[in-house]
Amino acid sequence: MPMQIDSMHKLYVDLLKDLYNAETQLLEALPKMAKGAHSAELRQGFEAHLSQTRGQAKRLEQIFSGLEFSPNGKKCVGMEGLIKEGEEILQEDMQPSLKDAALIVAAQKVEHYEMAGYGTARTFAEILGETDAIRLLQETLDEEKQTDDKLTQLAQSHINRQAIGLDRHDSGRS
Amino acid sequence: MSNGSLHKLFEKEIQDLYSAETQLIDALPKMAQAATSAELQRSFKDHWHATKRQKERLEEVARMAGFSPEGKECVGMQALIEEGEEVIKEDMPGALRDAALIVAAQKVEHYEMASYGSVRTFAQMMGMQQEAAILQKTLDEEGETDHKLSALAESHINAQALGLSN
Repeated sequence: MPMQIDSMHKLYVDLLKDLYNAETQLLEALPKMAKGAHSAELRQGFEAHLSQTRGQAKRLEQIFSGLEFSPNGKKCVGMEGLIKEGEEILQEDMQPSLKDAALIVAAQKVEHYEMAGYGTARTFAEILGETDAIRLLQETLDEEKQTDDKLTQLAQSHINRQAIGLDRHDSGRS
Repeated sequence: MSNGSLHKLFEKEIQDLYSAETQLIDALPKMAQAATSAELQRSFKDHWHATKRQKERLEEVARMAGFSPEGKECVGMQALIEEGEEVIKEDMPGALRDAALIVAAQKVEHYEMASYGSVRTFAQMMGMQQEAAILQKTLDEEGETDHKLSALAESHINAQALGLSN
């Protein structure tokens, strides 16, 4: 039965459940994105983020161990939509470096979704005085921001340049 | 234009954003109606006006870059709006609903920040400085809206929502 949200505490729990489901979905999606990546650096980036995501799911479990609720029982519709966008890219027939650039866009949308979710959850934990949770949620929030920055660097450093290289090549032919 | 060009990816992402903004223009009045705090209502209404301008900017960018802004359905935004609709349908006390609506709205802002950041970077890398400047303007606005929502939540909505449980 869905939980009746009648207090700030339950809204907080609801958000944590949403994040837990989002991380669970991401654990399944990241290996596919790693497999779809062409550049070794991007593939390693996705693989590293996979093990980080496991740690983030564990942190949520740790927070739930102090609550009277289970982390399960919610489907995160937002993450579902974002992963669907990533899957569309994987299915598409694109030049490898372009596919990498497109996968980075999809991954950054996921990171930003999580940053918004964890940022709010941390704020909720603060006003509810959940001291341990504040620290754990902040740790994950910092990681998500770092991942987003790394993806930006990766895109700017060589993947987009390669994609532009293709652009010049194509226009030379047409 | 070949399928294999960064320009093509830029086009697709702009079309994605155009669909996202169009969906948001439909959704924001419903969110404003569902909000109980006058301040949050006003904020959604202001953002509705800003969103209309942002959509026009995308039309301008598409015209400059030589493609149509239409032709893609943004599944990401569809899902985020669905989350917002779930909040609206749920039976919650007013202040809690406001807090939950702010969560949904901030997810939307972050989605847009990620997308506008990417297309701005693509435009810069392709030497499309004018397009990049237009996209940067919207990116800055989305960041500001996100901060305003945080401030609104922190200033009184969360405190009111907390008061409900005591």
